[in-house]
Amino acid sequence: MRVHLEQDEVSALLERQAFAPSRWRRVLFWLQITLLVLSCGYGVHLYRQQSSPDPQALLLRWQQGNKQVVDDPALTRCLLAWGQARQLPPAVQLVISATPDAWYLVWISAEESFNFSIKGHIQELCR
Amino acid sequence: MRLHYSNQQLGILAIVLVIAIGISSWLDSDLRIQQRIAGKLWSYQRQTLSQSELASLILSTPIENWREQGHLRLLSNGEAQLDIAVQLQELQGPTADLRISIQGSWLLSDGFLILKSSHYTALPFNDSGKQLLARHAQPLRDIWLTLFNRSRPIFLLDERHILLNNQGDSLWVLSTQKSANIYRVAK
Repeated sequence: MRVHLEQDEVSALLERQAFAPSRWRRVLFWLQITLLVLSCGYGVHLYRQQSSPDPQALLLRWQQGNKQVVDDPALTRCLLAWGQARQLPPAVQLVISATPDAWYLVWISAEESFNFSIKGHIQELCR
Repeated sequence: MRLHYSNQQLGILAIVLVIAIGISSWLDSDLRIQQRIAGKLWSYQRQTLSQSELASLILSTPIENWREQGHLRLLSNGEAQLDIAVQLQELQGPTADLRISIQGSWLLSDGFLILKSSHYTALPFNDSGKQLLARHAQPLRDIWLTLFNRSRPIFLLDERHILLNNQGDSLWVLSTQKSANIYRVAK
């Protein structure tokens, strides 16, 4: 086994050591990369949230400033039938919200929005 | 590309990072919402499918049906105008037809849309409306100004719909049409 290094190998090693990036540069670089990924992810999330409704989510529940997708086909069918009986235009999205003594339904079509305030509980409409 | 952690690499990365943070901050800012809602005509229809308790209490008569169709103009200079066609039906009585117009200002701050009135007009559009206004002009004015002068959290549902959260979890969604923008006319 060869234990001695050639002169040019030693020079290369010394040069590499001399010009190696300092630790803080590496830390700074990876910190920037992390922040970049986080800010891009946040930006994409905001853009998607604001630019188009979720095409799969026809029925949303609004609660304390947050929207939740309601996966309840029976309730969705009931509300759609209710709106069709009132001759409302085809719904793009339905938003519901409840307060202690009333509930709210917003029927959103491509061009218009219809806001309904209904006393009681939503289940009473869709029994 | 091999990483050298050079000043040039760090500099370029810093610029890209500042741009990304700037765009993300702008997306989440009042300025973006303001740009999206200003200079447009926002329309809605609202109906109370039960006795309207607030109106019944203030007008001292049971209001069976409350139906309104409104247009809210939010001008880029901060002025706002709400025009509403209202139909109020007293219990087993005739339907009063009114046109309400409220002018004022709007402001967006910390995700809240703040509307302030400066001028109110109510006109009857049928005899029942005339009678209702003759009896209850001041309470009606109080109701409308109370409903108008509020700060409400605003949410962009998509390109053409905004949601205003009233007190509690009551909702007010307004829509704009592509053709309903308020266009500037060149002199």
